[in-house]
Amino acid sequence: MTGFTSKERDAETGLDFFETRYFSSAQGRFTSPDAPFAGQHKEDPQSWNMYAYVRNNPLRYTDPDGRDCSGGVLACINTIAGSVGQLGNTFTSDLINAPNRIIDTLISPFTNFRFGDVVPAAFTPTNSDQQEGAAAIKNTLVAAPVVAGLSQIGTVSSTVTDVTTVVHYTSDTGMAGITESGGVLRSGTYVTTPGEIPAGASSSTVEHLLEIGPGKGTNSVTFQTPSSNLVTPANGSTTSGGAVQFQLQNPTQINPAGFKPTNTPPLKPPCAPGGTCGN
Amino acid sequence: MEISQIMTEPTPYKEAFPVGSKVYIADRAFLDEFKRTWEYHHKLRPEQLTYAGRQTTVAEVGFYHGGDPVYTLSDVPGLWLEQCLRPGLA
Repeated sequence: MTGFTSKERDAETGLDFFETRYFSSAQGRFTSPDAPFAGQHKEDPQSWNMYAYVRNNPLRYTDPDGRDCSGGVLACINTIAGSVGQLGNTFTSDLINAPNRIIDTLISPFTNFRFGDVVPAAFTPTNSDQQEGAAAIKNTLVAAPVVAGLSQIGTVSSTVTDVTTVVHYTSDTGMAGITESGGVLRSGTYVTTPGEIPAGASSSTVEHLLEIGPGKGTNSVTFQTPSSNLVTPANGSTTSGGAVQFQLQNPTQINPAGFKPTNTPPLKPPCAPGGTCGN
Repeated sequence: MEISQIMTEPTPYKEAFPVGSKVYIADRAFLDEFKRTWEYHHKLRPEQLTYAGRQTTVAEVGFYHGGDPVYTLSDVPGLWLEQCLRPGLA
């Protein structure tokens, strides 16, 4: 079966084989991290995401072997140059101009008057690749925090898709039930945030943190949902075990292929007669 | 009767008592035993014990990690696990 960019698709898992790792076309992400220093460039923060596919720009670049983007060396260099230039802008002109820009946004529904920028940008992208690199950095370092701040005071929330990444843990039986339902988590389903669970935590650690019985934390699905779809449960924003929790306000579609097994410790080897037991 | 003989494991993501159902809260002896032995999420709070035997209506159902149904009841405070509820009179 042929998958994304003509790569071989595994019929059982639906994942595409990219020579060094598998790619989930449903999620637009690799299922394992990039090899260290294979495709990361310190000048290009978009490359620091070790699961992303070609800087999240599949229309321009491809990744033939799961290691780095290939869209022409010049294109990549220009993207990096745009990122570096915008970094300079961010820590000079953008920060200086931020107060005026926020006030201009706030008053825009009421008047055409604008305070404008105090200082001009030091760097101006000169081609589309540089513009993309600059836009990526600007969105990460400037737009997102400003938008988040404005959303909190309720000014531009209607124009912003504010999403939160959450995770739901379940048992093998629960995963099968959700999958059979077409991947719908019912309203009222509890979720937590990925940061609540230490990386590589075993299922028993997860079950302890979330206060669920043995076997109920053996699988998880991580997904993004509008923040407006998250409500605080009646027993508060944290479990009695201290983990952050929300409930989904509406039935929420997830990708069943996105279920991942929680790290399960290997079984202890059996004790040999008269010998020692493995730990 | 031992609590283990009374409790049945809920079906993940499938509530036994849909919203609007009449339910009884289990008797005080059961709630006391459940409070003593249940070591997972949504432990019973002391004030919930006084509602033992009360008939009420399911107001909301949620599903905790693992699929355990968690109930909100009309005019009764707190969150309730399915093990503590019994079918009520329609």
